[in-house]
Amino acid sequence: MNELLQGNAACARAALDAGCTFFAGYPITPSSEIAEQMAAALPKRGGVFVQMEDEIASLGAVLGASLAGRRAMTATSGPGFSLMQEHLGYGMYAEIPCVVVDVMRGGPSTGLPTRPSQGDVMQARWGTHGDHPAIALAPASVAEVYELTARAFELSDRLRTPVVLLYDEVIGHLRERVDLAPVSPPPAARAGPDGRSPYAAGEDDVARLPDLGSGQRFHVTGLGHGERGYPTDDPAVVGDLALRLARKVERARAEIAWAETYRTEDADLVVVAYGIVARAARRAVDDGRARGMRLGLFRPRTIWPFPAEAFRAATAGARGVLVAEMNLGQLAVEIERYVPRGSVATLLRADGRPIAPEEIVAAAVRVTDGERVVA
Amino acid sequence: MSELRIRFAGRGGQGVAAAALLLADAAVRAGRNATFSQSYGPESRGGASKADVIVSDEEIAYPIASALDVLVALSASGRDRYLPELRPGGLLIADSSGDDAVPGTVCAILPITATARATVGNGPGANLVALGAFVETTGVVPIEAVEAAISARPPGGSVALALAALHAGSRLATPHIGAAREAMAM
Amino acid sequence: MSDLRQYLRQDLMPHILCPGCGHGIALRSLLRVIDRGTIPLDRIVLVGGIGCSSRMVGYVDLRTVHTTHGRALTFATGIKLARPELEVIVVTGDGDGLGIGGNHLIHAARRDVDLTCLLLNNATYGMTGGQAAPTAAPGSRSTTTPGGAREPSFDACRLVEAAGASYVARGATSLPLALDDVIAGAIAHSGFSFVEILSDCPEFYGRYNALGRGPDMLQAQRSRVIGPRPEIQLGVLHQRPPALEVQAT
Repeated sequence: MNELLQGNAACARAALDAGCTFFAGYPITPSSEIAEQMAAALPKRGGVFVQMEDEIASLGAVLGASLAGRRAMTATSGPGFSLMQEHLGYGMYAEIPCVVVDVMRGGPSTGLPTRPSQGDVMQARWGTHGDHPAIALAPASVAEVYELTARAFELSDRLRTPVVLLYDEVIGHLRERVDLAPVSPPPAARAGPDGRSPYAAGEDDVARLPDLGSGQRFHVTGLGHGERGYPTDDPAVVGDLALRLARKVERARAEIAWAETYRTEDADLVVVAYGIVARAARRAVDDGRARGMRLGLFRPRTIWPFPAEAFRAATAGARGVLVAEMNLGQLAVEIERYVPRGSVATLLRADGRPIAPEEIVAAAVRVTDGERVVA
Repeated sequence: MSELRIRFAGRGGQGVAAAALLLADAAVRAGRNATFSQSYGPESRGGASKADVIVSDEEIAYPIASALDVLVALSASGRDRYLPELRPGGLLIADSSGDDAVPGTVCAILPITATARATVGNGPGANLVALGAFVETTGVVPIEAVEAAISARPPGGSVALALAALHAGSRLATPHIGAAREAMAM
Repeated sequence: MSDLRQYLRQDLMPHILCPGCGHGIALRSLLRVIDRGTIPLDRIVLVGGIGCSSRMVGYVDLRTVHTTHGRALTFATGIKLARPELEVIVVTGDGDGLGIGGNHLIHAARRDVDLTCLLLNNATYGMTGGQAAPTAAPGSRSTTTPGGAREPSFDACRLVEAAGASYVARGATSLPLALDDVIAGAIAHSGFSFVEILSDCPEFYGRYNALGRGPDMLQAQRSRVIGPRPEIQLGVLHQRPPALEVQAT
């Protein structure tokens, strides 16, 4: 059925359809609509909504609910995402599934509460201290917010780790026509087999904790821990744990790391963009081609882990890459790892305004003329 | 038809976003593609407010409007701020209490606020009068689709009052149909 | 009474607490209450924050969650709301619960969700080596107040009562059987229940303030809490019906 739907509303609906029955959050622009919709919907279907005292508490409650067997989510924006970093690290280390939505606004600090940005890309990767795995998905349309929110729950459950949904304010507040195919909740296979060794991983390197209501006795900690879940700083044990956590996401990279390409087959210059900027870039590719430029678009739908294989394939025949993003070059740094030195140009804005199609076409012209940093 | 880019501008509290949202909703109800985006400041009331609607029969690649086809301005400040983004020959719908015709555009300068006051009394209503004027002059969506959108989510709570304001706006704009349609066709 | 060692993870011994630490007395008191058998064991979840007191949850052979510094109550709130049939008991300390976690504590009290919170107050940050805590007495010495603390200290019970908790009590490691009763009362109460437990840290607080060893500190503590007009009041200080009934599903 065709309907006009807001990005944040699509996120809330996807969470409900994916079987999320617990939401804890704290009001913050531009993500508050998600909390409001969950507050209205969850109690009617036996779920729980709780407004916590801050974002640290919100993610703490979400992790607690997840440990107790609920599919759980929170949503926030930059300042709140900063506060959540402590518990993101806990969730990754203790292997507790949950979904964290970060609707990006201008930063740092209080920044530009009502204006879009993509400034949290690196925070989603390295925001919490220590080595840790990270998964972040980046939808570029209302329909895709729905699709990737549901996917985030599935991935989080399967890999037992927090998954971040990362989109900018424009996508969050955008309303557009969608015709959604409703998802169903993934099967609830939460209880692990053995409370005595809750962190004994299977061949997929995923440890599956029993839930707290299962009656099994086990320990969960944010300290270094072995298979029993008990604290240790034995270098062999904690070293293995760090490697296993990295491996568990790396092993799943092929199925996690999605990207979309558009007209890259014969492109001289491949524009890399995500979120709302990818929408501008798609228009720019068409407009540029109408002017005789051979442009293509590479759009990562997964930011972390970065879809490197797809990126290499999409840019194999290109002479250059133009990264357009609403920050000062966060994904560009990652992309530089995959291309010859000097072949990445950037079009960057960190002023709370989206990048327009015309800007990308103009940048492409200048890059073709040899410039590297065009804004 | 290619994309039609419409901006509603005014002060916070005038219902600018609500009117734009009804238009986008109506467009989808009429089987067309539409996007709605708004930008706003920290104030819930006062301050500047704008909302963009793009209507198309194809996929809308980029949902932020530029080179506007239509600017619906409920305040003089909103008009002044966004007039530079109205394409040459575009349509300006504005309130006659503060506005004069603008050279280079097709203008429908109408007593929007006064009509709203006469129709629904004090309080919001000018946004719906302006929406009625927009629908009447451009024919982008059938009025029935807007009526359905209003019935589904009546701004202000009263379907009857909202429809009265909408219809008052469309009657107000009837004399401008010809010029507006020419502007749209450009 | 049965052998309380049955409730402990014997394979984690020896534990990390110092000789003379009061926390073991508090743990034993909690285990005696658990041993009364009024709550099915498989419904009990113990949640701790970070610090010496919080560490004790890991030694109990039940479902135990050792969380982040000051945030145990946030996890506990999520667990309880997600599964109201669970009996969620939080163990925290003065630095954990009143310092870094003070905001969570007052909001947990205000929310009045059916949790039991045991706050072990030894007036110091023991795990990090004896820095000043929010409950350190004015004038007391620590590694961060070498000239004596100049700031006033919190009265945890009055704070939590004012914030809305429906059960507030104080116990002391020097009167362990009376401590059992307030812990049992806290668990039985169906709103947010808070028990401040006076404990001692001879290793740091005692040493820096020349208060002697563990037994000396226990004696001194006892003299402040007994008698017709004790300096520090023990027992149930406040109780009313809970504001919010969490319906068991």
